[in-house]
Amino acid sequence: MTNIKAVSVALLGLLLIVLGVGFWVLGDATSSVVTLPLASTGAHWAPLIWLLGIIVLLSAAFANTMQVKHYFVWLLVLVVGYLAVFVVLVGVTSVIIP
Amino acid sequence: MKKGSNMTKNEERILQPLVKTGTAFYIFVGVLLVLTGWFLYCWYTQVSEGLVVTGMRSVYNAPNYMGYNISGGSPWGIYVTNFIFWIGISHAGIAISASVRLMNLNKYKVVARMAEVLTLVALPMAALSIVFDVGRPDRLFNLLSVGRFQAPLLWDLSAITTYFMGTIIYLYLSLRGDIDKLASRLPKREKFYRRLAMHYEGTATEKEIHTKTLWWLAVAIVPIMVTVHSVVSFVFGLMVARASWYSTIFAIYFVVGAIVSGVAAVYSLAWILRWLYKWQTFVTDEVLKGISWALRNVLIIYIYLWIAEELTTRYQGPAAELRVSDFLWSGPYAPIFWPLAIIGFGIPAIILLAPVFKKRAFNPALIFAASIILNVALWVKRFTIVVPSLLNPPLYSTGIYIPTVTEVSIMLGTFWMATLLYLAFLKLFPIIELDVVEA
Repeated sequence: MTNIKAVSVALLGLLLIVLGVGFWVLGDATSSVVTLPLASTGAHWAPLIWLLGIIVLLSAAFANTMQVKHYFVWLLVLVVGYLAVFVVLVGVTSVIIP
Repeated sequence: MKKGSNMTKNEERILQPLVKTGTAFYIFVGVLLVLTGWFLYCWYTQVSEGLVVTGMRSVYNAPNYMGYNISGGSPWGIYVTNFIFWIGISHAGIAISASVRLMNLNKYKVVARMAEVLTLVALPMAALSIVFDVGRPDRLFNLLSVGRFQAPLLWDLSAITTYFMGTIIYLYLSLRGDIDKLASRLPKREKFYRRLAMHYEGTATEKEIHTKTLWWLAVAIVPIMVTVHSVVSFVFGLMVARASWYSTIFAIYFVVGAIVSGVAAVYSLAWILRWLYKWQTFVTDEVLKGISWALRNVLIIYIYLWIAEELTTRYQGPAAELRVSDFLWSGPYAPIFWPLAIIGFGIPAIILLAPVFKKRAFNPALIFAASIILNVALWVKRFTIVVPSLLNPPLYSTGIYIPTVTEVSIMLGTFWMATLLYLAFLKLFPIIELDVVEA
């Protein structure tokens, strides 16, 4: 049973990674590998999707070792904690920058 | 320790840092907090005034040194150097721990957690170094929203995220059994530990699942670790317009450098903790000898790669590469380069090689000194990789980069914060696995 849980979570994470990268590539309007830095490329927020996919994929280890309720607590801590770092840094520096 | 305590003798000794706090500890933490306060003030200054407060600004008509304009021309300085350094330190943690698990090196399990925590502490410091380096950290969300798939910086973000999350999960799973034990060993903190253990009961099935999962995590984490530092090297190694960066050797050069600094850091930590808590029976001379053996071997490989790189450039390198090399060999950074080669790498290499020829030459304290020198040297080495190439673009040299006090204070801030985080862990959780000691 634990293996099925872990494999399902891992597959979900993998799906998010593929989706994120896929969105980015599909949204990329440029044709060359190295493009102009200011060119608008890729679907917006696609990197966030694959980064969340990475977190979900790795959290399969938790799904393997704890009850579903506790697993979701951990997953929430990881995702919210990760995003909170960005929010705090952006928030604090936005206030400081004149 | 109270009489009638439910701890074994060995557990009592391992849990010393959790239950005993001397005056020296408070003084040390106080000093670190003051230094962190100073760092925060400096960062506030940098964010509000801009990167003009750093040595990365471009100031024309600045005083000359050896014919070079002081201040200017290097858009990356000690923050990026610091980033590579911390990524390197983070390497060893999981590398050592995963190797111990995968290769059944049970003797080294006593240092596994020390190393894992080092990774956990080092990675945020690496990421923060990049935040310090960008002029507008308030635009950090752009990385998540419009990050470019072609940019190695986004590969870096993905790799570091993977490594950091993997480390948290790995550390928690290896710690869970001990957290459960702590709930019964330290009644005052029982609620905290019980909640954190998340209904772990320590049954045979639970233990087996944890062991299996940790093994698989170890299998996954080793390639992640190599990927992280390779990706860091790609930030430089893929830039064709910078002399001495565009090189196929960079990925392996960075990975080996990271292992050297990481293993040296683990040795230093193990030695300090053994000395502080008199853990000679746990962290034995044999364990330290083993780590120093690994350190010696990777150091030899690193020196070999360095010599190969220098020889290729000096023998008949392109003009731009030679200019960067001259900048280090006989130019304004020669006072950094030669002490780095002789004192930074030469002396530690001699200290580490001595026991090969004379077994009695193994001296844990001396090797501790060598490991500290090596870490300082590797920080400087990264500086000599990052800065001279930026100061010498293909057409002309731009000046000399000298970091400002504000910049140095911000960079050092990562060291104070890392130490504080490590101490916080030391006060909450056992730094040596309780099961290992009992075994």
